[in-house]
Amino acid sequence: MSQKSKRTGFVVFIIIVIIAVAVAGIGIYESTSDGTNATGNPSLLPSQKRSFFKDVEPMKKFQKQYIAALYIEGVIEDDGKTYNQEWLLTTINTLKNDESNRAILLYINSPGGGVYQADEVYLALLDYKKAGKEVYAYMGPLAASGGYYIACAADTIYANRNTLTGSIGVIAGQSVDMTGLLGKLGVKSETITAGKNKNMLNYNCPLTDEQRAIMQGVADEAYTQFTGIVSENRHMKLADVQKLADGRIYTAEQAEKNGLIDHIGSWDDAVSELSLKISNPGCKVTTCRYEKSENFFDMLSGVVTNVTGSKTLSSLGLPETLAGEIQPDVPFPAYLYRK
Amino acid sequence: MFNRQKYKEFARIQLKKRWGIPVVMTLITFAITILLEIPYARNMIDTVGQQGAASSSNLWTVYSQVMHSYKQTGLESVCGWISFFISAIITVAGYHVYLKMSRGPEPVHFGDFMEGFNNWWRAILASLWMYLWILLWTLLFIIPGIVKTIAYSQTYFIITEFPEISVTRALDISKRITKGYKGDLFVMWISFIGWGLLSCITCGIGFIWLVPYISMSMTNAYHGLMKNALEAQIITVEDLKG
Repeated sequence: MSQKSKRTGFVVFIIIVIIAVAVAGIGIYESTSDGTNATGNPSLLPSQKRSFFKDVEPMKKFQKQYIAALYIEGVIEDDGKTYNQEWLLTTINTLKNDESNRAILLYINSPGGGVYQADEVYLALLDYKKAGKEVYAYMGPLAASGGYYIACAADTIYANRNTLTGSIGVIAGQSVDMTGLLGKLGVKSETITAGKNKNMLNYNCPLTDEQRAIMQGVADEAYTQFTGIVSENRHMKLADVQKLADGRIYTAEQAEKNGLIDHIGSWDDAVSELSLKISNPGCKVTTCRYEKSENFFDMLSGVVTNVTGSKTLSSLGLPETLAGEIQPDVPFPAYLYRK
Repeated sequence: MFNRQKYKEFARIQLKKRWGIPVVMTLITFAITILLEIPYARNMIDTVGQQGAASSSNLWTVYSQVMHSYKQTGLESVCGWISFFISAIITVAGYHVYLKMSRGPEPVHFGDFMEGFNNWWRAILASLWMYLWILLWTLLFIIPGIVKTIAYSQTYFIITEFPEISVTRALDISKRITKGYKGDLFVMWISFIGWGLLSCITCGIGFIWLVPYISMSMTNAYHGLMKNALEAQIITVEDLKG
């Protein structure tokens, strides 16, 4: 009985060893095999997945080359549902350092966002280009204001025929003066400050002419920066850009006519042209897209904030849409298109 | 009474001149664990490599980026479960040897370790049953999860020593015999930290001897808990029959 049970146990042991070796083998094979995104993680880059098994043959290196389809979606801010500044900058930097990456094809669907954030991305893309790599941009439904600002870093800009772009302008800040309403309600709100303009733009402080001039100065400076970048990258005269940059949006056709974009076409058209530009037709395209992992509590807190915000405004007899105006989630000053 | 020092002292005596098989068992366990961890390690190293290349100047940034970008793949999930079941089977096989060593001074053989693998099916069932209960308790908070992990810690010993007992009853007995001693068991685990740190300094080589020492001590603690429970009539001999 004992010998028999030892034999059976030995068989189980051998099966375990075989399973362990098979698992290890699959793990190693996954590392060395070709194909993008075997892990399902869009931020993992193919060449780095295989960096431990150095392929030195030029042919293999050529086959490994890829274009990164980098998605910029949503409001350009530090951390949003579809956008994360840190992730984006790190990804651009990683792509810059990755030998197998040859180009970035931006997919932009954004109404813009913070001046600071948009410029940071713009500069990161310029830095990427210093490594001798190409940047193309493809515009989705909306690539306005800060979205267009980032697109200016591209060598060539493509747009879908239904894209809305432009909105070249700046929102320096906004004042919602609630002193009248608070007075009606019998609410006294006071902010203790030192410095006569410290409380400017606060809801309990009417905007003075001096404060208006201060904010205008901020807006003008950011506007000059924006138009300067458009002029430089689109090879247009500054005066011509300023004529176009009155904050309006343009259709793809209007933008093409005015030199704000290069071509109207499809995503595939942009991929094809870029592949030819880097002398690697049929080059692989790897998706790099930010995915926020939202847990149950995030969802819950979002719902609670929306409901309580709306309820408060309703109880004051104000439209619920004012919530976005009073508590903007966009960093100011902003290159932002407001519908 | 729970006498930690005594259990450890007994363990040293019991292992004297019988280190061979426990050490071999530990080496085999290490080897299999390493093999099973390769897919996980590969993904993690790739992520570290990627994020490290991107922001190598700041260690904390690298860490946070790695945690941000790291995602478990389907293969890893499957491997995770395989690894979970296999480690349960190996643990039970190991306990089979340690229980034999605790009963008498006669030498143990590699065949005894192999004999322990016969319990593979019960080991899988026990691990799943324990996992389910620990998971449910952890949903409440992390502390209840830890407390229950200690409460169920004797299950593998019980299913190894009493093959007729069902897995569910083994878990129940484990819960009963550890009642009032969970703190002692926790302290006993903590008391090996010093040896653990010392083993880390030796690049992990020390663990080849530390793991048998801990296992043997825990086996003695199990005998002590069982004896206390029988004496206090928390469990009866009838409970230990199938």
